[in-house]
Amino acid sequence: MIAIRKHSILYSITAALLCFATSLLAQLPSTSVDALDAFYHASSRADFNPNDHLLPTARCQVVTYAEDGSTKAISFTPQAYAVQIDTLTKLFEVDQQPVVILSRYYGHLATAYLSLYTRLIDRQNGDTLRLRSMQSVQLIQQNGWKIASLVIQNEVEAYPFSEELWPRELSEDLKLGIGSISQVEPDTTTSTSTEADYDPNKVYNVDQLQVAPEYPGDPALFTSLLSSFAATMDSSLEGSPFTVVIEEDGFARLGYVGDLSGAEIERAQSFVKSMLIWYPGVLDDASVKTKLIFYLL
Amino acid sequence: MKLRPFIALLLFALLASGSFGQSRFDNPSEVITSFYRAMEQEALETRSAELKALFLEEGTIHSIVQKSSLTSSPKGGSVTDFLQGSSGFYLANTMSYDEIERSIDYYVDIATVHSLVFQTIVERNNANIAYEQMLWFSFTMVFEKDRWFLTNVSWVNAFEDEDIDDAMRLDTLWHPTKN
Repeated sequence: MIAIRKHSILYSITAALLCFATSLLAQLPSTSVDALDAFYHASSRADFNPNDHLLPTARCQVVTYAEDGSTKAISFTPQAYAVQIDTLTKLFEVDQQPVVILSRYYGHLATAYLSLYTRLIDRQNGDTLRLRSMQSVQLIQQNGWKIASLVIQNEVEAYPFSEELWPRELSEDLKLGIGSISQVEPDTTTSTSTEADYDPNKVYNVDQLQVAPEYPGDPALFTSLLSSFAATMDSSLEGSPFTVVIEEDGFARLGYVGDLSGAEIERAQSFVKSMLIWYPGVLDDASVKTKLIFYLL
Repeated sequence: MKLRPFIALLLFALLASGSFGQSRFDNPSEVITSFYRAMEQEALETRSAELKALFLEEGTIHSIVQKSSLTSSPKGGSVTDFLQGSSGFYLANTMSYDEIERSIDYYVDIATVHSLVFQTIVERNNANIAYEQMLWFSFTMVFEKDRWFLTNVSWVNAFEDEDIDDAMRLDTLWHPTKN
């Protein structure tokens, strides 16, 4: 009886260990593409653990551009990359989705050259930033597939993605640029109507207001700001348009950026962040939201 | 996941370029050619100088010794780690590389290059003893300071169970997406 009981206990332990091992195996990505999926899913979350997806010797390189257009690749260790992800996920709800993966593999080495769609939703105001990038990944199978190298190049407007890497069939529903989740319709038109009733939720055009928003201080300050970001409000200069909304409290936020490249969006964001608090637009003696149209040259 | 047929593979003619000192590395092919030449250098100082000139400071090298489809020994680290780790092997052997095939994918300032090479290893103490094998190299590069730099190089050797030509076959995977 005792022997049977011991045998039963041993059987139970063995079964438990087998179940545990099976569950562990189930968690390990079986292919390099599964590993990529798992990586992009995990690196969109605050609890991203780099040790689960990146080799200790891995490096993540992000191509960045200085004001003069020169390239600088910034290198991150797995831990430093996780810090970047942590910061990003605190500010935004992040969603990353590969669109097309060009995959090669042999033995325990695999590579992927892929287009990636990224959606960032601002946790404070719900603004949504949608970007696309090209990424080159090398993976090695070592206790599951793990990334040995990741190189990221955000989209550059002058070099549109090829149809092969951004096929219409897959991407026609993927919006790009910035907007609120519920309202992403681009609108850079200027209304000709001067008749407008006060509505606290409406974003007005300048010509609908009694008093237009005004940048504080010396006008030269605003001119200097425009100049340092190569931005203008002159539509005749044929720049890339984007909008800035001046809220009732005078804070500026980026609006429509659908005509901008990833690098230009970053420039527009820096431009808006560099602004002082505006004197807001006024209608019916009340401060209102106002849309201003700028152009990046 | 939708598997699409092989789509894009750019095959490059293998052209040797000028001496190392004249290279400006303004195209990826020049970097690859120079990489193999650097890997053939017998003197550690020369090998070190030539390899380090090709990589970004944070560049990495990963190599996989594949024994069968199931077993392998991956190693990785910085360029300095590789130079130190391989110095003993270079003392005992000389190496040469003949590139067979190359393909490249690139977008603006990043590039990925795949290359099949035939490696010959000859023992220094006995030139009659030579080993030959095929290797698949995968390179990633970025364009910075008006030239291409390697950010990572990984390679794996051919093993019996699988034809290494498979490494150059491209699968195009369409990934379901949602807005």
